[in-house]
Amino acid sequence: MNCKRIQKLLMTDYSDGEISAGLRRIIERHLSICKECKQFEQAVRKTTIEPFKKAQEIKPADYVWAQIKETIIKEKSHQPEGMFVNLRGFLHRIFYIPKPAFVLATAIVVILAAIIVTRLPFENQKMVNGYLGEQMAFFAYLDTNELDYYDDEDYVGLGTSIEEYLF
Amino acid sequence: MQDIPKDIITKASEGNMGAFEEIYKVASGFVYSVALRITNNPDDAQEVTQDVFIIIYKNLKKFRFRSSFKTWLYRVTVNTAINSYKKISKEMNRRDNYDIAVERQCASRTTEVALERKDNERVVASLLNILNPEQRVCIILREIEGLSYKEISEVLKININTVRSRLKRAREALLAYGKRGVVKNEL
Repeated sequence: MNCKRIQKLLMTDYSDGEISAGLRRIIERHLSICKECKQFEQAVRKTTIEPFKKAQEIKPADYVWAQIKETIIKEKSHQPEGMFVNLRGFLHRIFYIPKPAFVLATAIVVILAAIIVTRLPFENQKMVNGYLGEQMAFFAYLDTNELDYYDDEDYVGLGTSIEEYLF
Repeated sequence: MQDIPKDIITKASEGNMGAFEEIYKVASGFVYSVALRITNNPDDAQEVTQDVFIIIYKNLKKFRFRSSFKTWLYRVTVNTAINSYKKISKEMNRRDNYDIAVERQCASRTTEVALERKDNERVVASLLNILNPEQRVCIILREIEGLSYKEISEVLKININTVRSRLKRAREALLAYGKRGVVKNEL
């Protein structure tokens, strides 16, 4: 790993403890042999990290809470009170469904509806089945020789001269 | 900032002012400190603190514990403070005003400790002052609040690589500032 890459890591992941143990070992080995990177690491620590470690929490002035409380109470007094406000909150609590759960529930309902619609036997289906049955019976009938008009035994001619010519 | 128990948050969401005051006591120091470090002005920081707690109070009913309360509070604080900083341009007076806030805080302490603390805060303020608001927030959350990259990305709703690059640029700026000898003299 070159010095540029090492110095980039020194300014981010290495200094912030966001690095794997393996990579940390590689960097530490490099720092032990590279004077320039070692100096860079010290500068980063001294200038960009250590000064902030001494920073302490600063409390707001006491009157800030009094002002917040006053604002809340004032706003509360302007809000509409009564049964419907409470009812709205009550209904919201009962019927509240988190977004992902709502999406999942909707998807399940749509899938179930699609399955039901495609599987239900309808009147049209009966008509189609009846027609297909009739057609199949007709073709089966054709397959037999029952309609062979040219069978000598069954053929009854009309007695015309043209029939004699043809058959 | 220490964790706030879930039952306190629930009670506060039901309008219990006592429970909300408990939240304020735990979180106000954090909210004010972050606001002060971003705005660099005690009056703006107090206004931000007030706005943050009113926003929190109004929206507690909608809070469903899907994310941590802490992350939500960080997000509201940072957004409100940045908006305030961008809106109000009092750049010339910020440094002096920051000192006033620290002085107020140190007034009741012993002189030596107070002076040391004032010096530390002055260094922190001068370093943060050279950064842009986005870099400043990343440095505050990482260095002062101790958040991980993942936590910062959740608070600011940006990806981890953006957090990394903002921290890198912020530290480059701080290093350049340090090289000019300013930090050396102040430390």
